[in-house]
Amino acid sequence: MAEGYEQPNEDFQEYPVRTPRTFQGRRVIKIEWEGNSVDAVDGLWVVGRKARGSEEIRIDVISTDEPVDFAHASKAAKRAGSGVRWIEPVLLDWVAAAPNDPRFSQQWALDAIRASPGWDVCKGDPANVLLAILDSGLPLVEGRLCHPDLKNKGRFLLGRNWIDDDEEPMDDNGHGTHVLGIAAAVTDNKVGVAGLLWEGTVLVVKTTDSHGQSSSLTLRSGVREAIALARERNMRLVINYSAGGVDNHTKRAAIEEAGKADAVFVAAAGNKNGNPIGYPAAYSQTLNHVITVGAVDRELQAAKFSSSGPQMNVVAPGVDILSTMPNYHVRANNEGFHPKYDLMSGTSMAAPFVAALAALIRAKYPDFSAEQVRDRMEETAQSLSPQSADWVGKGLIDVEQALL
Amino acid sequence: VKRTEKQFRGTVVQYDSVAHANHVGNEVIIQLKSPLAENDEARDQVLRELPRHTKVQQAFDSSGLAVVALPRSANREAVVKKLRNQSSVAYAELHYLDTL
Repeated sequence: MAEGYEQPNEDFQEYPVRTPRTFQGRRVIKIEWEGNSVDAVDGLWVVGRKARGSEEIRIDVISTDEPVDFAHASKAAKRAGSGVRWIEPVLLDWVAAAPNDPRFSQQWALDAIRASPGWDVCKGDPANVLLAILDSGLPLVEGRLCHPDLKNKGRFLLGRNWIDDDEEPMDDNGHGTHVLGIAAAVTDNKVGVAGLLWEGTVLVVKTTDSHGQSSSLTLRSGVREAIALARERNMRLVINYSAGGVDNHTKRAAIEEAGKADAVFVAAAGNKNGNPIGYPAAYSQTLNHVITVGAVDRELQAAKFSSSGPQMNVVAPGVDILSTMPNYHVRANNEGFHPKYDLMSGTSMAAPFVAALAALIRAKYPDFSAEQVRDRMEETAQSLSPQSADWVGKGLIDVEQALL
Repeated sequence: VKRTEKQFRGTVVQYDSVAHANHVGNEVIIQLKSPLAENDEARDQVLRELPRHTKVQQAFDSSGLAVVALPRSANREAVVKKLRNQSSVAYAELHYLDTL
């Protein structure tokens, strides 16, 4: 080995990548570099040489046309000339997408699930993917969108109000607005928070009343409405339902109908302090298009309030989650929640992260069935071992890995 | 049955101690085995078997599902059991509630 060469870290090794990215037409690979996982351009090496007769260091790039192999690159560098001081692979810095929403830095959850690098890969597909939120509605005044962070007309489609049986899904509880903001607050609009689904079409259906109650019948109506719209517009469907209760025929039939329409059905596990997971979430054991979602806190520990059981698929952040609240008085304000923006905790808050990711996966991989979307999310989840699978399922969702 | 003050869509919410769940008053959901267009006779038969003064809250839709409100005097469990025994009925059950 020529004098002055520095052998890279002994741990240096090639890591397989699922879908190669490219840089200037070459494959980008992941390598372990001094303990960190970094991207490098396959076969390209930077060589630092001392220019003849001076102390100045000249930087050259050599191509080995071989997979990353330090010995091979060293020989190529030696052939290219003398005075080599050091050699290293061409490392890439990716500028992760960072939205300009002023409260983005307070959204710890988006960092935990690696949203920014994920957005570099895919931000959504408003024309072909429909995310339906079945909850207590969204902020409306006289039938018009009124929250500054939930005010993009083309983005939000007003579904039916199945509680009052009319066409104004106005939120009178606050829960629905919070869930909606997590998944789909308008991102990069210089206002408030960022939603995980940067670009997307969202149907908001009111199935839950001001007291936080929904029913097997309102759930069924909401599911059927979402299926009908997705069918009419030829869109792939993801449904989020952050509520639960007992098993019954009407509920099961509705969820099976969603499966027949190849909809991904995301359901919160429930907040029963370790007691069994409620329905519809617990259908995930037999219905492969259902994703049961538990919650973790900032330290990535399973939230103690979560329900648990073998039906758990994945977890997402669900403690102290910042999101939108109605900008008028609702029932949640009686419980101390602030208007416009506030923190909430619950598996209800974790589910919309997963639903938004399902919508991103369906945007990136249009041919994936609902079952494949679930498989993808589970396979790419960040392991939270040794925590029990009954509490964390396959682990914490990873937006970037799921989209690569 | 323990009565609570809560309401859902204007109807008093009750607690079913067997299912451990809240449900909407005396409402019962009935699902026929086959879609309505093919099943007019079954629908009429089901409606005839219901107690007097039963109110149809939501008429049978095209999929064969209806919601009825039984009179207070009716024995809910007995009515549900009778409906379930009808050959044209896929299921009959209380209108259960979910919570956040």
